[in-house]
Amino acid sequence: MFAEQLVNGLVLGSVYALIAVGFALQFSILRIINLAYGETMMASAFVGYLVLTHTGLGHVAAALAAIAAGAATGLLLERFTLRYVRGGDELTPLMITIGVATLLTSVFSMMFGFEQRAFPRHYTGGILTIGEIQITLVQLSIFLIAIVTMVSLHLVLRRTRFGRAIRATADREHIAAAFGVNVRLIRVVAIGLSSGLGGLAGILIAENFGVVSPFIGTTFGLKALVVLIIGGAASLSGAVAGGLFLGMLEVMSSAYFLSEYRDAISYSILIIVLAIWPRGFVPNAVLR
Amino acid sequence: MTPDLDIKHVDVTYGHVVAVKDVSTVVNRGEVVAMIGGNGAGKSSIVRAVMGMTPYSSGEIYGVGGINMKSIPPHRVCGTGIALVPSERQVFASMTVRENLEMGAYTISERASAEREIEVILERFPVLAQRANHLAGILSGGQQQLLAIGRALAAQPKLLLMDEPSLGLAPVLVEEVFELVQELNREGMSILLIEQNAKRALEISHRAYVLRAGELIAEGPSDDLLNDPVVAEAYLGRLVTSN
Repeated sequence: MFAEQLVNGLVLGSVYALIAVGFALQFSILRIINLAYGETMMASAFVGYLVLTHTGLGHVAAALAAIAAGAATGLLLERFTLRYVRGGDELTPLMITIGVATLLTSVFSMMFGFEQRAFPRHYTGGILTIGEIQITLVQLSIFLIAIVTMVSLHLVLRRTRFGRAIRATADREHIAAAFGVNVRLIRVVAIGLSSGLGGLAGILIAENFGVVSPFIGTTFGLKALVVLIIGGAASLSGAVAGGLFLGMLEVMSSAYFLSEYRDAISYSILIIVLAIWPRGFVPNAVLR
Repeated sequence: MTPDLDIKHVDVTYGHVVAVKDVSTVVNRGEVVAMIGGNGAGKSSIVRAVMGMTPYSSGEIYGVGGINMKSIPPHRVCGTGIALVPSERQVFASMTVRENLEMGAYTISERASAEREIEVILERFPVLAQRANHLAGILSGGQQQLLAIGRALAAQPKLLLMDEPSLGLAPVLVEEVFELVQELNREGMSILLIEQNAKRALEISHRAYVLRAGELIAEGPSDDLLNDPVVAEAYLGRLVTSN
């Protein structure tokens, strides 16, 4: 029982970590909290759903379409709204992203209705047994995709010239520009990349829970915010740790307490963490 | 020979506030030129205008080789041969010393050449070599200043803009920084040195400009300005008596 919950916690936590990593990357470069990030995930999950149900293409095509949809949503948001309010007060971009989130939820509610839809899952029957631990192939693929994506992002940021330029921009934008970094391009890449990660996370959530609805964006967007704050706003390692922590916490609290209190427990933990460590577990982090 | 920096009648304004008014400055090849003045005199605004970080409302700035800087976006300025040692060091705190130097060499497209340049800098500054894999944010103020200078040198500039490199450093480190400025100049580097430490800046520079409230109030050979009664009283804390 415990081992099974441990697997569930790791799988959910890895998806939360992936969401939060995208969120943290976006925050560290753009210095805004994008409250439409969850709805970007939701819209991407629906694009994946459409590919699976209407084109006859497989899950890889659906995942690629979801990533592209996420990236496109983020790029449009930057190009037509956020770019024009840069350098102004902090509330304006926050309000814009709330507006975009509401708009996306409304549009997808009109298109697909308010009810959850069953998401056609991959490898539905497959189960891998390792000792006492049983893991479905869906869970295994979700976990592996999330981990490989995060490790790849880490390597790009650490080992490549372009990755260093992203980190330098997150650290000191003006100085990075003074040494030749095209920071405008970096901003565009950062929002495209992070929103693409959001798109991938969206379809992984739909795979994990087997459903998709216009309201998953609000739920998971807020959870990403919780992870972001717990982990330290611009820290990728903090986002991974925070994501795994929250995923494990939710699964264990559902298994050993009452599942109805799952979200209440998550947000209570957030309040406690912020009361003790007001700047999260990793304060002063800058895209590490 | 074309100067490495030729600022002609530049105004910099922030909204309705005039930070720099009709300032003209020249840095010839191989010169150390000091720009001195108190807080709010407009010194850093001039540096920001040259680097493309702040637009200038009128006048012209010509960089290395006579390039008109107005049409150069901020991220292309470094590639024209101008590198910045910013005020308060501003190293990339979350990156290692080596990564900071790699960012300095960002415009060098050939990887081997960039790595060679970084090794030259690490040889020049052994204290940085010892801490090459340490995060820049945990270095002492003096080490961060050396890193900021090393990072700028990694760009292989012809002209170095140094914005208050002695600010916040212990006196012994201030001396080291000024000696380094002289050493770099002996190697042929042109330097625009922005300083509040007017006396030392005048002692090590060839020429100087004195700014007050965004306007040039004096200019000339540094030795002359050191003995100028107005400059001495306002910025050197002493009166010069004429014979």
